[in-house]
Amino acid sequence: MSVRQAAQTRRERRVAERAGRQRARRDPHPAARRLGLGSLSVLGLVGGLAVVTLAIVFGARPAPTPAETAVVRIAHVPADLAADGFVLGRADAPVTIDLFEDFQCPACEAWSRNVFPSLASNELAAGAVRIVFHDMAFLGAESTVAGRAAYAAAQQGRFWDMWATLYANQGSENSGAFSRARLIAMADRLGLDLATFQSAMDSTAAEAAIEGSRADAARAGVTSTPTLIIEGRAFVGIEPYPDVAAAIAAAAAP
Amino acid sequence: MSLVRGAAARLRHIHPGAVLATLDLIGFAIAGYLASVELRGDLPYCGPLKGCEEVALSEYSRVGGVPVAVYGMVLSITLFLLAIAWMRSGRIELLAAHYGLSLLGVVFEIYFTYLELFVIGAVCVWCAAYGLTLVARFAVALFAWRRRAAYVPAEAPA
Repeated sequence: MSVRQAAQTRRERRVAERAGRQRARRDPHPAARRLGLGSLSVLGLVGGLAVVTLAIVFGARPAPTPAETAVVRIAHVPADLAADGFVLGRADAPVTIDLFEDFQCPACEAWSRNVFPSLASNELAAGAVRIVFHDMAFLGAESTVAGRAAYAAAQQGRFWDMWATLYANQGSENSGAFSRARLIAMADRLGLDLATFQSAMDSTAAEAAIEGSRADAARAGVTSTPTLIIEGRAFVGIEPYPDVAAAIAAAAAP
Repeated sequence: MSLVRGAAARLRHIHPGAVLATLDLIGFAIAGYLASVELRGDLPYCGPLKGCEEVALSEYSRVGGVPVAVYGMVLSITLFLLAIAWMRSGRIELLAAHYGLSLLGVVFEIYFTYLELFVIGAVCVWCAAYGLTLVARFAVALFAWRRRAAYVPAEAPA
C-alpha cells in the first residue's frame, strides 16, 4: 500500500467515524427511534381523556362521614312565628329591627341564646316587632360558606331554623365547624332537599345576597356584630333584653 | 435594534429544558397556593376578580375527595423533574414524557374550563393561570421535540 493510499484510507475512516457519531447524536437512544410525535400525541390525548373520565366518575364530593354528621345539632325558632326569607315576625309589625350578624361571631351566638328567646316569646309573638337579618360574613371563609348555607335554607323557607342551627353548631373561627360536609349535614337534619340546597349554596345568587348584606351594613355604618338598628337607633354588642324591649316600646309609641 | 437582536439571540441559546422547568415551577407555585388554601378550608383570594370562590366551593374542585389543585402540584413537580433530567442527560424519552404529560394536562384543563364556563358559571383566574402555564409547557415541549437532535449533549472526548 502506497503512502497516498494509506492516507486516503485514514481519511475515509475518519469521515465514517464522524458520520457515525453524528448519527448517534441524532438518534442517541434506540427507544427514541420508536417514538413519533403522532403516537406521543395519541398517548397524551388518551391519557387526558382517561383522567377526565376518572374525574367525572369520582368527581362528586364524598358524602359526609358519620363522624362529621353525628355531632351536628339542630335548633328551631318558635314554629308559630311568621317567617319570610330573612324576615322573622309579622309583615305589618310596627317596629323593625335590622339585625347585623356573622355566623362565626361568638357574641352573636350569645345574643341568640340570651336575648332572642325573650324577644321571640314576647314582642315577636305579639306582632309588635319584626327582625330583618343582614349577614356581614366578615370573619373568614367559613362565615361566607355559612352565609351561603343560610341563603340556601332561605330558598326553602327555612332560613331562621338554619340561623338557630348554625349558632347551635358554632365553633372557633374557621376551624371546620362550618365545613361543607357539616353544613350539608345540618340541612339534612333540618329536612331540606339536599340537591336544591347544594345548588343554591353554590349559586352566584348566594354570593350576591351576601354582598348585598355587606353593602347594607356599609350604608348603615355598621362595623361590628351583633348590631341591632331599631328604627334608626343602633345598639352595638349584646344589649340586654330589657333595654331592647324598651327601645321597641319607645319606637312604637306615637 | 441591536439590543433586541442581541436579546433574541441570547433567548435562542436558552435550553428549552430550562424554560420548561421554569414554567413547571410557576405551575407548581400556583397549584400549591390553591391546594394549601383548599386544604385549610379557606377560599382562594382573587382580589377584584370574582369567581375563585364559586369554583372552589363547587363539587368539581375535588376529585375523589382530593382537591384538584393537589393533582396539579403532583403533575407540575413530575414535569419539573422530567425537564431537569432531560436537560442534564439529553435522554429524548424524558422530553417525550414531558410532552405527553403536558398534553394530558391540557386535555384536563380544556374539560375544567368547560366546567367553569358552562356548568359552574364562574372562572377562577388562578386556575386559568395554571392552564396557561400548561399550554405554554405543551407548546415549548412540542417545539423542543421538533428540534430534539439539536439538544443532544456533545459526547465526551475520547
